Amino acid sequence: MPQLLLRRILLVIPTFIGIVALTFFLIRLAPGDPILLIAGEHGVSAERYAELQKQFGFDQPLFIQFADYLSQVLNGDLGLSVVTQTPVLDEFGKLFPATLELALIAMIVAIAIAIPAGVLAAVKRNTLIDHSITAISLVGYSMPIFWWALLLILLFSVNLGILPVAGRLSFIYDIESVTGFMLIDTLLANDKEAFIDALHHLTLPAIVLATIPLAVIMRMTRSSMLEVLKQDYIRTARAKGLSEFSVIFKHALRNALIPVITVIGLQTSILMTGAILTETIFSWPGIGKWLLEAVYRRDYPVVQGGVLLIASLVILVNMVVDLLYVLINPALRQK
Amino acid sequence: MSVQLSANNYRTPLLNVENLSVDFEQNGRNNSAAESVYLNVHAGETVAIVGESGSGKSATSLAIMGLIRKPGVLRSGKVKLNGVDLLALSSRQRRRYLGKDISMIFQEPTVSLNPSFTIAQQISEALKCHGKMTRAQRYSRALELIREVGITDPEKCLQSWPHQLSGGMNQRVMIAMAISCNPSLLIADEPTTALDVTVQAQILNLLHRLQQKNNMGMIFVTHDLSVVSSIAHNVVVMYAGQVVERCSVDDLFQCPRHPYTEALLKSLPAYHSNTNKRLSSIKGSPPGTVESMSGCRFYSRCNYAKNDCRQSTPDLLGEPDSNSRAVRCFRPLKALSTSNDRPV
Repeated sequence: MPQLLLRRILLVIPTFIGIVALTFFLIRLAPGDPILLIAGEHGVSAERYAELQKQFGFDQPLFIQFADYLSQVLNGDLGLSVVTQTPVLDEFGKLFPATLELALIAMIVAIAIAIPAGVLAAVKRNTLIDHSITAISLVGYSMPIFWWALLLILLFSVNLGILPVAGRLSFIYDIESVTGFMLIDTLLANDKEAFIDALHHLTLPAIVLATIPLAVIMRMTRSSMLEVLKQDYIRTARAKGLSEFSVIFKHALRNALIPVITVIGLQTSILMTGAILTETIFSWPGIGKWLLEAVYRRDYPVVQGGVLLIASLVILVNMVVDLLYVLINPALRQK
Repeated sequence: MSVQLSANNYRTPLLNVENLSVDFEQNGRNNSAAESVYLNVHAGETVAIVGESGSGKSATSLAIMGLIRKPGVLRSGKVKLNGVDLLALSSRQRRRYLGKDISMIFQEPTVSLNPSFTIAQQISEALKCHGKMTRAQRYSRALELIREVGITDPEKCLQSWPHQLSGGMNQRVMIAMAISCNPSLLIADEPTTALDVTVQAQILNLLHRLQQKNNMGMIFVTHDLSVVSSIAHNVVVMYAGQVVERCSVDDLFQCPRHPYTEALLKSLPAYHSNTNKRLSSIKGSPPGTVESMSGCRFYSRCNYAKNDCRQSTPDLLGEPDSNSRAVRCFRPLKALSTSNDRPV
């Protein structure tokens, strides 16, 4: 087990360097110039332009710039945003809790609904229940997120007026940011109304963000359960006189979860990045929105740093999934 | 053995199966897997169910356990264990008997054990399900059971996962699990088919020893007649879902009366047989579906078939509710036609 962990960690190093190189060169391949974009319509004089280029280091040859950036990153410095001149890491740190909060809640909602529903569909195979669950999952998976979000806004915010359209908290509340998680901060501030308000703000984006993972996890749980329920050891469990609950939730689900966990891991990674659309629609002040704006402004350090940080998260999630996989699957533990 | 047998006939059987029928639903049609099976098992007795693949032997044994799942459907039947009709019980009530009074072992031991639980967990689960034992008591009982089935280093075995053990070891574990609550009846569904021959002999010896020790009734499902000769007291021969012959094991080998039984025996390689002679086989294959068939189901493969065999269906003659001889044939045989090929 420790060996496995070490090997996984060592494998991360080349991945990191690859990601740094890829984002560095890709963003520079895109047309547009950060200095010109900051200058705006009025433009900038040639001398001032050269001065700024020198200040940001853009006058150096590309490979020198890359080597500089790489050594900087290895020292734990992701540089300053060209636009705001604040450290990328600080900006990320400030915005990330919002994204994480949204992603976690969405994932919890998705898992809490998807796994029982998937199990139910498998157990009630080819019945109305199964067909309804499968149909809902298909619709959820195929629905364009943008349109789905607008539909929900139209119903709950515009017509019913019970849920807010955007943001994390209404302006009337002033909550000190301690953890960055609005739900926790409002509780720490002991402001019950603000907590409920934050929950209201979270509801629609969380539903929208949970939709696709929910559909994917549900389908995976169903098909995996169907596969497992056919196995001989399920018959053995029944022959032992175990209750149907124990057969399904202990003997079958435990084995069926192995592929489901992989899917959950993949979906979690996607949520970290896939929140861009949802955050934009609901003006959620998270890293998705931040990164998108950085791309528009060609804010090289922010794009590079942001992508690198998100990539690290994805790697981390995958590592956790790998470890879970080994923990839950005894046959892998030996290897 | 014959003395014991005749005595058995006057005792109340441990297990009494009556008119058991199982269908499989396929594309909206019902295919009969087992039809009107009658079967008795006494304490300490082994009844072998013999037949080709698809003859209904596994369907019968699963139906006795009440483990028929869709697309299989139980059509009719009574399964009385010590007078209690298991099939008339609700599944919740039946679970009290499963694994306790009646238990089962299966063909593929390695896939019949849950890969995600250790051997200790799986054995102690059966104990937990049917009795009030503390954790420590369950562990020591599991240890005792593992030792009982002849596994050296029982502690290590209990800590293992099924994938770490061989097929033979896993089958021993399955047996330990099945006998954990001292069942009065054990159903063994081809328990040695997936194992190699030396391990097969060990498992058969183990089953035989356990049976004698606990005076357990046993149903032994197999397609292997050499296994039958070494373990069974009575034999039920099935063909295409029907019982075609029922007799003692001695009668089976010495004077089979159904042409199918005779054909099965002829296709056994004999120990002292003339090596130049080609081993006989039964021509054709069993009917896939029997619904539209009229007449004897073995008709098309039978060497003795006459016209009337095709027109009307023979009944199982003899007393359907006892273990005395019975045969489903219009022209039952008198004696084995080629006596030199008799297996030992």
